[in-house]
Amino acid sequence: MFYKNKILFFIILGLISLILYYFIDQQLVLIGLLNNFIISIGILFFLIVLISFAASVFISFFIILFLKLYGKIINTKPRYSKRFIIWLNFTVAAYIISFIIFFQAITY
Amino acid sequence: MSNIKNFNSKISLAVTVFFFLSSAAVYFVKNKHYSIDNFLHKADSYFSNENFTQSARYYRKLISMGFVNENVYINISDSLIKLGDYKRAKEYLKEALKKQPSSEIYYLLGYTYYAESQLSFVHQYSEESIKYLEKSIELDKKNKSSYKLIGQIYEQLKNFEYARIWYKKALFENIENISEFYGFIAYTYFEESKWDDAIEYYKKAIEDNKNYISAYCSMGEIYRIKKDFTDAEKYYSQVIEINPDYVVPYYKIGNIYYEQGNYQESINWYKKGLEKESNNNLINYYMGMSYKKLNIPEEAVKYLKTAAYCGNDNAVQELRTMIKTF
Repeated sequence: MFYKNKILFFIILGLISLILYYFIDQQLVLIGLLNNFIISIGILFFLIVLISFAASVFISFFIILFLKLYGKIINTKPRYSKRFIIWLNFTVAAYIISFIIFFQAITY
Repeated sequence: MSNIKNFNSKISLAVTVFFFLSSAAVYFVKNKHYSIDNFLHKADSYFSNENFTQSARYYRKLISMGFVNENVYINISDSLIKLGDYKRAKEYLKEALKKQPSSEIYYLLGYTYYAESQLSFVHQYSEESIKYLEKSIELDKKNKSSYKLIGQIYEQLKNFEYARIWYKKALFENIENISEFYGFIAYTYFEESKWDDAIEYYKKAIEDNKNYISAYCSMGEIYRIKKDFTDAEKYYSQVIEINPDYVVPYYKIGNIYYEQGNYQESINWYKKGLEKESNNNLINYYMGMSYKKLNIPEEAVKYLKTAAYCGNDNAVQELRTMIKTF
């Protein structure tokens, strides 16, 4: 997703972090921890990126392995871009993680 | 290539829009199932069980659900004050004032500024606090807590004259439990070392409440300072009559004898105190010191060690000196 326009994806992720911060703050779980609005959003953004990246590397490893195995079985060299696979997984993971946080933040 | 790029962008935008829409749908569905009564019950229950993080969380949700109630604002602010989030507490209280001003809310606002001043030592917070507390009294002339807090603030500012004015105003309004306010006035005189005035008001406090332990203790202390040991002991003995388990009067009477050089009698009183609280570091320290004065070093070391173990720095110092001497 947004493979050709990565900056747009990060802008959307920034927006998501802002919305998430609003809901987390509503739950008052950050009392005394992250009172600074900008820093809080920055930390949230950074955490989502970090976890998504780790998850995407992990998942991509298995996908690439699977593609290689599949190539061997059908005796053709599969055409894929590692960067594309990692990026795609990264963006999907970022959305999933954001959704999980959002879900938790609106659950009482 | 351009087509692929467009396709990629379209899919990306579609997924993103889907993500936002599904999140909104989940939020809508979840909120539909939340009930105000259930949340209010949970919030009140957490609040009464002193789980302030949870109570603040539910009260906040109630407010965001449009449930406007003075008690909710008071309780969320109280929870936030307990959690040390004064900024948010003030925001809620000011919001509550706009909706429905009351003496209680003005008091809490004053209290929040006071609590903040205790942490930050900013003089301005004390002034703000007094301002709101005065408004609280304007709305309810019998708001005892507000008089008390204004007095305490002036005491901290070392402005005892003003503190007394507010305590006397409270007495003028015939509020309940006047002995407490006589005690406060007496304390301001005590702080200014005006012993006779302090005694006059402590006596008034005792007249009103015969079981006012802290007034008896303060009287004992004043007479001890005035070297009137007979009266001092008399007042401390009265505390023992009221509450025989309270350790302070035993220790204080022991100190009176210690001060007069009657170490054997002071030991007798300290022993009585230790029967009530064996790990009291002060009693153990003075017990050790009394034995030291009586030249019984073994016993002195025994009690000083206990005092040191219980956190008495003077006992540690004394033990070091004794080790050097022997």
